[in-house]
Amino acid sequence: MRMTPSLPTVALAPGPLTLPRARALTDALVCASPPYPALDTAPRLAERLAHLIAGAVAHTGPVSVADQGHRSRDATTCMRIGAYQLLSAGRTSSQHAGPVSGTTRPFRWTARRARRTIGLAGLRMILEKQAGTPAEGVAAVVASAGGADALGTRRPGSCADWLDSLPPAARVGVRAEATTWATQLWSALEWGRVETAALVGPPDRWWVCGDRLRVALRGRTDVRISSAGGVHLSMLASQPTAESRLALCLSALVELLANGPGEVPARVAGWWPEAGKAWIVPVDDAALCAVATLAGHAAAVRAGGPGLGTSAR
Amino acid sequence: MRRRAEAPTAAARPGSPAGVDLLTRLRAPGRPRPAVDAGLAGGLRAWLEDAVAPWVQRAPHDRALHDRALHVTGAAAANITGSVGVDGDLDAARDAVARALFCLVVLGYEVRHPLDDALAVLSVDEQDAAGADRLRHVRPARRAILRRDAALFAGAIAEQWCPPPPAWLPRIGEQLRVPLAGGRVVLAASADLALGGPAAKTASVCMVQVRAAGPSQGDQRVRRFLALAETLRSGAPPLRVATYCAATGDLCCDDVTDDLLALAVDDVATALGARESAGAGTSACVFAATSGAPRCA
Repeated sequence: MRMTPSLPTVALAPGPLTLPRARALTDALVCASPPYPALDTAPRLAERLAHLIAGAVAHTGPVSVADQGHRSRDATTCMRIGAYQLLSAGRTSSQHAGPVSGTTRPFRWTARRARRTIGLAGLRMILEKQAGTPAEGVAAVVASAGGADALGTRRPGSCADWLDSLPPAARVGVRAEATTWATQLWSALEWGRVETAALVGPPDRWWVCGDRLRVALRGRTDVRISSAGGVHLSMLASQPTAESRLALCLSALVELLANGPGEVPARVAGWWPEAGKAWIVPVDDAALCAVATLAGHAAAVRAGGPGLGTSAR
Repeated sequence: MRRRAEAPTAAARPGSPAGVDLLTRLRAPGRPRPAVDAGLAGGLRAWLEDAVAPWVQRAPHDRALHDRALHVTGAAAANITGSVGVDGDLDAARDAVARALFCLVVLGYEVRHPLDDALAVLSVDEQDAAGADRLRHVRPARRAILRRDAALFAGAIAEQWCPPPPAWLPRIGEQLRVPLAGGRVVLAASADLALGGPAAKTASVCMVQVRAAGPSQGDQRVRRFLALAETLRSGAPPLRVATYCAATGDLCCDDVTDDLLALAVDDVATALGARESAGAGTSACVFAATSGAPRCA
């Protein structure tokens, strides 16, 4: 028995199948769509969702601090929940409701983990007319990582810091992975049609709740398109799964909780280049409730609690 | 083309005649390209769904099995057996080193210390990092073999390849995963180099797989499996698929045709049937692949 089937599901619109795919996907993203409608009910919904998430972790047992994110200055444990944690929680069976934190390994940069950061920086260089292709944009970013600000603040443990520490051949390996990633995102859309409305690699949004155990939800998207009611596009690895539709909605939930209904996109979209699949999920109250439920479950499971299989359902 | 590298070190030379020659063989600029049949991918997918349906019907439909879908790879379709991973046998390590050197050369890096440079590339790869670390500490005799082979590969690759123009949208290590039967069967493939943007009206994508050893009988089936996976993934067949053998310098190239794709579908159906008659039945088993070599977990 698994958790996900018991969760509410979100309406799913399959991606277009005509060629070229970029045109079909862009058509779908820029077509007129009613904005997220619940302007009047949003505050109450946000309050309910916040309560839901906080309640899910309120009765958990002792938390393994070393394995859960980081300690803030006031020594409160802060647990980060992103799309990855949602997907993991969705796959967790009720028989295995124990903490998954024990298997968490310390974060370590690899070419695969750095490809998004570098790839997005490379795409921004194209949109800023500083590069002509993803390969050129990424090459420029990698070449200048030590001196320029293409990868953001350079601090110990940052991607730029890690890149600087690598031997030249290893940097080329990182460049290869990032070039492929950036090219896949570049090929997914007809950028000339969304360029003015698209924000590539916007900063992550966070919403934090909880007292003894603080839970920080991370809203991350690769491209934020402000037209057509707002769309968040994320490029994801492998292939879509049943849990993917909820994970896609996480960025919309964080927008609602952190910034109010005016910032909630009308739709969220996922693009899986390895499988050639695109999903577009309309954002509504049902979708947000579903992802909030799963976020609470994810927090509870990671904290060693029972998850939704028993108490929180 | 069959060349042997002589120099222990090698440098990528953008625009060198030999490099241009191989890229030209792949892209064949000026030659007419086949029009894309927009219905072909759907037809192939329907054919494959029919082929996997009996296997799926005999397998119990539960979520646990769903999560451990049967992954069919080019190697499985070509009925190749073996293991992969730089921590495994020497052949697999050679393949990994050849792919890493190929990556360096097509990105314009001047390879001066072939084995060390290849290990540096592998060390930042999530899957190969542990193996690369072990390779740094293998027995001296084995390391000497690898060092010699790496120099051979680096010389051949640098002599024959050059960085492709950025406008060709080069992708290195592109992964393909085509779910069938609702995700219960997954066709998994990878291309060490992919060139050309997504097709609209005519085929444009070329894909290359790199291996260390010379051409083998299974290569062609692996290539057509890659062509099939790309067709299903992108909705349009690739223009050309190729295998590059770093030890011999051979580039075996196939134009992708409807017949070739039909053979690939047959290969997948045969592989599924052979798997069942071999006693694997409908139990879940995962084959993961790197450039066509299988790993059974």
